[in-house]
Parts: sequence; C-alpha cells; structure tokens
Amino acid sequence: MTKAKWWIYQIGIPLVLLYAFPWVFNNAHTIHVAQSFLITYIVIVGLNLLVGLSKQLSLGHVGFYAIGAYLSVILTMKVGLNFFVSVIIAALVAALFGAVVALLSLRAKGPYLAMVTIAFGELVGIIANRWVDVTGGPAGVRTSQPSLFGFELGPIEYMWFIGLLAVIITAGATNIFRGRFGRTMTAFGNSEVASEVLGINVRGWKILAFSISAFLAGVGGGLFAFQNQFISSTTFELNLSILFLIAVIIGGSGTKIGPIIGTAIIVGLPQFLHNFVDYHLMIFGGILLVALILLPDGIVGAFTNLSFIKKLSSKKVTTELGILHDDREATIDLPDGINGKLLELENISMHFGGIKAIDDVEIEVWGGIVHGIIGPNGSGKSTTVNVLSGVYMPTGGNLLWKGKNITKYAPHGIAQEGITRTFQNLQLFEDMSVLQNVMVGFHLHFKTGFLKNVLYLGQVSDEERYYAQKAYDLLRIVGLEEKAHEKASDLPYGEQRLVEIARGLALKPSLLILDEPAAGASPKEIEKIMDVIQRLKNAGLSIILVEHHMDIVMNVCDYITVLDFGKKICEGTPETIQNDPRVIEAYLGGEEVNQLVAGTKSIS
Amino acid sequence: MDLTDVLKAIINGLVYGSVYAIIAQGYYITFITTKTMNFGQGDFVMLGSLIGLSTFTAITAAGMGVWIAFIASLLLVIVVVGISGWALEQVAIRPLRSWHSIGWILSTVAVAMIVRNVAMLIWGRDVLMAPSPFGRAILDLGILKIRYHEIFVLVGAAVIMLLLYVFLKKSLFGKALEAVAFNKDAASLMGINPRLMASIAFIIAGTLAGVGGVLVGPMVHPGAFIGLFLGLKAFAVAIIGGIENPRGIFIGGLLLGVSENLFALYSTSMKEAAAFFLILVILAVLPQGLFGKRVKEKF
Amino acid sequence: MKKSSAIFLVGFMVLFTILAGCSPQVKETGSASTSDPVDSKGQDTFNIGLAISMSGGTALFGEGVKRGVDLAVKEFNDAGGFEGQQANLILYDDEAKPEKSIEIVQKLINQDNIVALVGPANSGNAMAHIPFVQEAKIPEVVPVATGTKITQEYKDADKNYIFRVAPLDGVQVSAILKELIDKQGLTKLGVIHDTEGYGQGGREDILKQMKENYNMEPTVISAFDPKELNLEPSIREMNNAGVEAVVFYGLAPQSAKLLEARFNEGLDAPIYATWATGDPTVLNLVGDLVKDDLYFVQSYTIDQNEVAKKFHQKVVDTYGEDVFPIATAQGYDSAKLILDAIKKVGLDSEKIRDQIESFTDFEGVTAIKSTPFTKENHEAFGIDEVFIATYNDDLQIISAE
Repeated sequence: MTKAKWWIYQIGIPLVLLYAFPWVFNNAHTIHVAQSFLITYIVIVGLNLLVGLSKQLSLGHVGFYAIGAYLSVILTMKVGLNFFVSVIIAALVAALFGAVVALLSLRAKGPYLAMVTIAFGELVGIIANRWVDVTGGPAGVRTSQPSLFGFELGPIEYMWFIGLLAVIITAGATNIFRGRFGRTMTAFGNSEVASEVLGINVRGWKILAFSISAFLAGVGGGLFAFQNQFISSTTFELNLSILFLIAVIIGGSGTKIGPIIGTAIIVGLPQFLHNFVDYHLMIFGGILLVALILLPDGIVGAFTNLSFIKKLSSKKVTTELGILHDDREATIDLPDGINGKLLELENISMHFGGIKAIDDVEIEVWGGIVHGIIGPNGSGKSTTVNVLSGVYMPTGGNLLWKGKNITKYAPHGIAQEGITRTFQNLQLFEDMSVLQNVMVGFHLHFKTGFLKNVLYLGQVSDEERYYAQKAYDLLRIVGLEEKAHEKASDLPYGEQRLVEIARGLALKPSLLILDEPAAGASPKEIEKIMDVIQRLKNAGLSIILVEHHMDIVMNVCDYITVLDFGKKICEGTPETIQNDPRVIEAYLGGEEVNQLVAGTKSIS
Repeated sequence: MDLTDVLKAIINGLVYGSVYAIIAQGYYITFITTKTMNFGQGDFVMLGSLIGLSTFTAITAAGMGVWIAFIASLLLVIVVVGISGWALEQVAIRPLRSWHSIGWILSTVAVAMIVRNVAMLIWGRDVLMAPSPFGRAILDLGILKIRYHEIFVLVGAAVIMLLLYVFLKKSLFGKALEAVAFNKDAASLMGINPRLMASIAFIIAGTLAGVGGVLVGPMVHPGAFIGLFLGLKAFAVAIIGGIENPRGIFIGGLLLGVSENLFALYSTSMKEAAAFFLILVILAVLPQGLFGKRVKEKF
Repeated sequence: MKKSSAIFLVGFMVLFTILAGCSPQVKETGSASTSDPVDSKGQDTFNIGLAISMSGGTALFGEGVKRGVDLAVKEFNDAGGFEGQQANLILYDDEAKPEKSIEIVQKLINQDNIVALVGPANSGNAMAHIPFVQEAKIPEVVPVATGTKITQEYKDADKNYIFRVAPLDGVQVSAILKELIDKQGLTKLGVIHDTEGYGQGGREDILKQMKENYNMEPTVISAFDPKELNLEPSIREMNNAGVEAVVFYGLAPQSAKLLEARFNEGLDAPIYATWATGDPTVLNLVGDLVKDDLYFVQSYTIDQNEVAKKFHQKVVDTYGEDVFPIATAQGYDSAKLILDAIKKVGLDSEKIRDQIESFTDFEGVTAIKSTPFTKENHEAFGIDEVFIATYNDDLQIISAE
C-alpha cells in the first residue's frame, strides 16, 4: 500500500464515517451503542495483539479495564485532572499491572495462564466491590462530564472523540502488525524456544505484549467511566473478560480487521436480542457455538482463507516490500571467520533427577570447520545441543565462548553472542510466511524502536524493505525463493529444515548448530541440505552438526565427537572415527553383532 | 477465636474442598486426553443438582424411602449429565479443527450459556431447596456440631476418589487413557481410538459433575445461575493441584477449602480475595501447580 | 519525526474542535414524540417500558415485578385503555448490570418511545440510568431497588421524575433500629450483610443512622459474598462478639443460608432482617427454620387486607403460583400509578409525572396510601407504612407487635 492510500483507508474514510454517523443516526440510543462499540473495540484491539499475535491467553482483561476506569475517575474527581489526562495516566498504570501479571505468569502456560489471569481479574473485581470508600462499590460512583479545553463533550462529541482515538489506535495497531514488533510477537507466540535462539528475549516481549494490551484495556476502561458518567463494581466481572475473548476469537484472532467484526458482534448482536428476554442467553450461546464450529479461524480468518484472497495478499506483500528478483549472486553476510578455539565445554554435565543425560563431557570447537557430534539414540546429542544453545542450564561444568563464560546465559543471550541453532523437532513460526520466518532471524539487527514502529515512520519501512531483501537473498541461497510467500507450515519437511537454516543464518551467527538437519527429509532433499551445508562451510561459517546419517557426517565434517550414554567416547577426524572400535561398538553393539549381521556367526 | 473455631473451619473447608475436588477431576480427565476442558463444568454441576432434587422430591412424594430416592436420583443424574457430557464433546469439542487452539474455551462457554438458559426455563429463576437424605440432622459432638450430610459428603467424596483412582489404574480404559496422555500418536497406532477416548473422558467428566451436583445440592440451594461460581472454584482447585495429577487435585481441593475457611476466621468478606491471592502466589512460584509435573521440554 | 507528529496532532485537534463545534443536537425522541399529537394519536397503542433484571442474582425480583406489571397492563387494556389506545408493555432484561441498564433504558426512551418506565431491581442500575430518564422527562417508578439515594438524586430539581413503591433502605433501617435501640434498649448490635449493592447500601444506612441518631456503632460487622455457600463463619463471628441482636441485610437465598447456618451453629441473638427475608422463597428453602427469633420489615403481606387477598388470588389464578408476592404487588402498584395517571391526563409524559405526584385517590394493593407522593416525598412507603413482622407457629407472617 502506498502512503497516500494508507492515509485514505486508515484515517480518511473512518473519520468521514465517524463524522457522518450522528447526522444519519441521530438518536441517543444509537449514539450510545456507537460509543460502547468504539470503547469495546479499543479493548479488543489490545486483546487481539495479546491473544492473536503472541498467543497469550487472558481471561482477566476486565481487571485492566477496571483499573483504567476507577483510576481515571479518581484522578479526575479527587485530584482534579482533565479527564483525558487521567485516562492516559490510568491506562499507564493498567499497563504496569499488565507487566506484573506477565511477570507472575511468565512460566505458566495454557490453563495455568488462564487461571493466573482469571485470579487477577477477580481480585481487582473484589477490591472494586469491597473498597467502597474509594470505588463506591456496587452502589457506584458518579463522574463529571468529560471536557477538553473547557469544552464539555456531549454524547455526540464524546463519540467522536472516542472514535478519533479508535482510529489512531487502529493505525498504530496496524503499524505494529506489519512491522517487526508484530512479527516478533507472532514469532514467540508460535515458538518460544525458536524465538529465544534467534535472540528474542521472550520474557521481555511477553511483558511488553501484556503491557500494551493492558494499556489499551485501561484506555477503554477510562473512556467507559466517562461514557455514562457512572461506574459500579457490578460491571467488572469475569463474564466481561469472557465476552472480550469471544470478540477476539469470533472476529478472527490475529487479523487486522477481526476486532471490528468481533466487537460488532458482541456489542451489536445483543441489541437485536433485547426482545427475547427469556431466550437471549441461549440464542447468543447458539450463535457463538455455530460460529466457532463453522468458522474456527473467525469470520475474518475464514474470509482470508479463500484461495483467491490468499493469492491477492501474497502478491501485495511482494510489491509492498519491493523485493528485487535480479540475477546478481546472493551473498551471505557473515562475521569474519574465526580461527582458533571458539567454544569450550568444560566438564559439562546435565542431570535430570537421577538420569545423567550428559556427564562430564569435554568438547572443544574450533573456528572455520564443521564439527560433527554423533552418537546412537539416547547418547546425549540433543541434550548437548540444548545446553550449547542455552535452552538447558547445565547442572555442572562451564561453557566458554571465545574464553568468556556463558554457562548461565539465557538462549537469547547466547544468540547475542553469535550462536544459534536449528531444531530436530522443527520449530518454525507456523503462522508466518517463509520470508517472514527468515526476517525474524534478523531480530537483533533491527534498530528502530517501539514508537517509531507505532508511527511507521520512513525509517521503519526502509528497514523493513532492506531486511526483506536480505531475507530473500538468504532464501535464494537455500533455494527457496520461489516459496517465499507460502505459509511455512505448508512446505515439505526437508524444505522446512532449509527454512530453519536460512532463519539461523539471518542472525549472522559466528557458530551455527544444526540439530539433525536431515532427519525426515527425502534423499533428494538431503542432497540439497548437504549442498547448502557444504556451501556454508566454504563461506567460512563455523558449524556444529549433530546428525544421524553417517554419510552426511563423514562427508561434511572436519572433526567429529562421538557420544554414548552421555559420555564422550572418542573424537577425531572422520577417518579416525570410522575405524575406532569403540564407535562401532556403540553404534552396532560390537563385533558380535557385526558378525551376526554379516551372517558369519549364528546364535546356537 | 478459639480452637473450636479453627476445628470447625477446617472441617467446613474439608467438606467444601472435597466437593470442588470431585468436580475438578472432570477437568483432569478431559485435559489429559484432549488438552481441553469444559469451562461450563459448573453448569453441569448445577444441572446435576437440579435434576437430582427434582427426582428426589418426586420419588419421596410418591411415598418411597429417602435412600431409594437418593440412589434413583443419583443414577438418573449420572445418566443424564453423562449424556450431556458426551453431547458437549460432540458439538463443542470434536468439530473444532484443532484442540490446541483456544476455541474450545469459548465453545464450552457457549454450551454452558445454553444449558443455563434451558435450566432457567425448566426450574425458573429462583433458587430451590435440595433435600438431603439425612434431612437437617446434626451430629452433636459437644464442642462441635456437624451435619450428617456433610459427613456423608466427605465420605462420599473419598469413595468417589478411590473408585476413580482404581478405575484409572486398573481398568483398560484407564491404561488407554494414560497411553493417550503420554503420546497420542503412538496410542492411536496401538489401536486406541483417541476420539472414542475423548468421548469417554467427557462422559466421565459429566458424570463427576453430576455426582458433585447431587452431593453439593443440599448445601447450596441450587438454581440456574449457580454454575459459574462452582465451576470457577473447581477450576482453581484443578490448577492449584496440578491439572495432570488427580491426587494433587484432591489435595489441592482440601487445601483451598481449608485455607479459605481459616482465612474467614480473620475476615469473612475478604475470603474470596484471599483465595485468589493465594492462587496467584502459588502459580507465580510453582507454575505447574503444587503437585504438577515439572517436565523439561525437549527440543 | 517529532515535528511531523506534533503537526499531525495539532492538526487533528484543530479539525476536531472545528467539527465538534457544529455537531448535530441529539434528538431526545422520547419526549418529543409524545408531545407530538400526530405521532401518538396515529397509533392505537402506546408503550410502557419495563427495564429490570430477568437474569443474574436479582432475576426473581424481575420475574415477580413483571407479573404484577403485566396484570396491571392487562386490566388497563381490558377496561378499554386510554381513549381506545391500548398499553403495550416492552420488557428488556438489564442482566443486573448497570451498563446494560443504561443501554436498554436509552433504547426504551429513544426507539420505543415509551411514555413511562417501571424498573429496576438493582440500586446500582437505578443510579446508573436515572440521569437519562430525568433528562428525557420520562416518569419512572421503581418497584424494587431500595437504595436510599435513588429518589434523592433529583429532589432539588424542578421536577423529580423518579418515584418509588418499595421500602427503601433508610426506612427499613429506621424501623429496625427503632425497635432494637429505642424499644428494647439494646447496645450490642451485629451486622451481617452481603457484598452486593443491596447489602452494602444497607450497611451504609445502618452505620449512618446509628451514628447520627444514637451515636453508636455496630459491635461487629460481617460481610459475605452472595455466591458464598456457607454462612457459618458469619454466625460464629456474631456469637464470638456476644451481640444482643443481629441485623441482617441480604436477599432471600442468603437469608435462607443464614437460617441454615444458624440452625447448624446455634445463635444466641435474634435476627432482624429486611423485607427481602419475608420473601416466600426463604420459607420454601428452609421450612420451619424461619420460626423463632427471626424478625423482618414488611410493607405487605398477602393477607393483610381484602384487597391484598384478592390480588394474591388473581396472581395465583393467572400464573399458577405467586413466586414473589411483594415484588409482584409492588410491580402492580408501580404500573397502576402510571396507568391511572394516563387515564386522567393522557399520554404526555410530563403530565403523567405531575399526576403521579399529585394523586389523592390512588388505590393500590400494597400499603400504599391514597396520596402516595408529594413534591418533596417520592417514596410510597415511609416509616408508618412498614412494620416488624415474624412467622407464627403456623408459618404465617404476622406482625411482631
């Protein structure tokens, strides 16, 4: 979309519609419903960022909503601030609470996360109900009429004002969606561990996502408090949180226009059900159920799944990013090759309870070569990779990176040092295109900050375009440029592995760890993968290759470490390893088995 | 506050906690098989106690004994709410494309809305009296008075837990359940039909909700709108105990019940707040609940 | 970057202010259309609104009131309506939520063009929506909500559009305190209340009146969540504090729980409660636990006089049972006030209001007087219309005198 078009669609048309609305529907009730719609919409936009992008469940948004509402009332009525200033301050406090909830629930997942947020929402609701001196409790408290610059806002002006905010917030949210912030949120929503090894501090980002979401819920709450100039604690109950979530899901979570449709449904539908006093719960529930069954991706999701729209949108992305399809040679940006000792594992142990997954292992990895780690199943290869990439904290020993102790580093810290990895159990960002997957890899190289991204300044679009081109180049290196705009999860297994490699390369790593890159790939794909590894090696990249396929290992590796039962049993060049009896024993169970297989011996 | 108060609070806590724990077992069973739960479990409890009380009243009115009435109502509830559980799985869980999305939260909430509305149309908006087979009889121990029904609930809950435990450990279904929970794909290769398992799990969950409803009915005055509260409490219990650990859930239920009631000695009005605060603290420290498995994910 | 965004913002503000300056006026269609003869006389029905909770914790009040209002409307229409125009009742559920209440009241006023309104059941909801009713000049009669402030909000306005046919908290509390402190001379009172609007409103009135009229404070206050299953802790708290009487502020289901808890735990002091405890639901739920040492404020009993008996019979004949006699009776009287006024002055909302305020010959089924309201007093029930009642051995509500 060009800039002018963006202004027309994002700002121009909505503002005109907004301005025209009261002239067409001039009736206190419709104005009131329009206000409710806009207020709820702001909350839903925030929740959509949290639930839709970063896949964090919140059933406690009513808590942030209530904090925004009560605090802005208190600041206006008791401190005497202007209503809008109070709303903003209150929303900032709500954002702070969002951060606290995120901190409390960092390690909680699924239903546990749901419970943390429910408990928070209920707690706020109970406080609002019992702390009557401040909140007025269920009997409620009256607020003043909202005013700006001494100009009192009547119902229509207030609707316009909320509408203006909603338009601005929508624009900001859309900008977040299309920029690196949205991408990063989607990334850790899809796979936390893959995000971490690409240098994303998932904890920090979760806190950010919760804060943004809570901020918008707080804004909504503040605006709600002045809509009726009355609030009562009865409003702030679990049901409302559930309703918010319904809007996000039914509209189409993670889509840009889902919130509009979702909000229209939760605010609009009940307007038509007023007459069915005895049945409205049933009708609403029934519609919700049918919608969820027929449209599991929400209304907008179902729409964009139509194939012609898919095609249209992928074309749009290409032109928007202006990717070059020229014939010049794609190059890889890599740090200067390092010779000498890169990484040292000093007596590394990893024990799970009584199980010694790896025990007292010492490995030295030298720069500029491909270092293979092999071993039979259960020998501790995967654990070693997990320790190297910071996914597991070793229970003993030290990890030295260019002489620096990085044993206690989180995965994203290790990524910042220039080590990244791929995964044996693929960890692609399934909701994204192949190109976007690779672009996430550039996370550490992006410079623009949050505010710039919200405004989507020129710098941001330049940066986007620059890294899109870079990502495209990387895809050319792994031979996937044709599939740049396909959904990553739609690719065959072997190609998905190549995407992971390209994504890792985007980090510009000093050391790339490939965890069984050929597992599950077809022979043809294996050939392709081997070719890529070979080229990377030639480009001077240091690689640790963990692999099952002996032919790959023997062909590609310069040096090999063999693990068995969590212990290093030998190391050396491929030739040494091939002839080492301990390796043969570990792999094949010893001479006896060899003979059995060869038929030279039989069991009598 | 003296020792008697503390003792009473503990007993109250055990009684209510054990009921929550029974209801919460339903969350456990469906979660380990399908990674989903019925967020409207509370409304199934409501359904159980309302059906139970109607049957009980009808049979005693016909002049039959209270125990016949109780057993009959229990059986009817098991059948009806069990079938409701199955129906829920059919309409709200199975059609969803992915069990891992959060659509199931909302689809089960949607079913709960419908159930609530239907119950309101049948039983009205009022709360009702659910008679206990023991009437209001009280066991007077001098320092301590306790309703026979409460003792019955405690014993009943323990028996149900035991039955459930034996069932899960010894029966074929229990073993299949464990297999599905451990590795769904492998289990299905072994000839275990995960869809059938899901149906059975929801039937059991419904049955537990119904039985919980019959037990709790005489203590709560059931009505169409009591479900949300009961469901939420049971959910909290399941989470505190660790949703994948049935014994943990039972202990979690007793623990929540007792600590809540002990806190009530200090302040009755902030009891709820204290419970939720406790949950927040527990989950901040132990994100898998008190007795949840702490697994290292493999990558 | 900063510069451009600053310009951008200022531009918006300017544009906004200009556009806002020429905003259209919100049409208050409700008042406009009823004074417009073409609009109302062209139809042969007119609308009466009922905005009350049909779901949520106070749903039973809604159900009770709805029956009463329905009966009143039916009688009005059977008697020929007003100059041939039939009354049409429009009922919306406020789900016991204030924001919902505002929404439906606005819809009633602006889209359904009601001439008068009956509702709601929750005091919080009433406080939330009365500004819109007052502004639209629609008379509202409150049949249930007891919060003292509701009718006070616009008492200084030129015309107060809010009336009530329900025993308000202030009066109920006065009646109880008069009995306990003035008559019996007690000094150690305990309070148990729910944490919803009802209980919290009552607690406020109790504290205020004890302080102002007697310079006392309750010995102990125990609050409980109405969803709470077990009220034994509250009873224990009362026993431990050694109170001489307990003032209970809660709705019927909680009253029943309290009586069960009292039965299980034993309570040394009598309970004094509000009219909600006289609700037959309590009797249905706990049977003869209502006997002994339970007193409550009443304004109506189904057999207080011939009119009440006849009305009760009519409700039973129409609906099969009388789910909530007081609510139904108060709902009936609320609607009858409006409809009787319409018979006298027609369909102009403002005139209806004036008529309701100046009735001198009103006949209701509750203890409502023939001159229920004055300009200063919009409460149908004062301290003289309520009394302390109790259950006798035959489980009938009788005056405790």
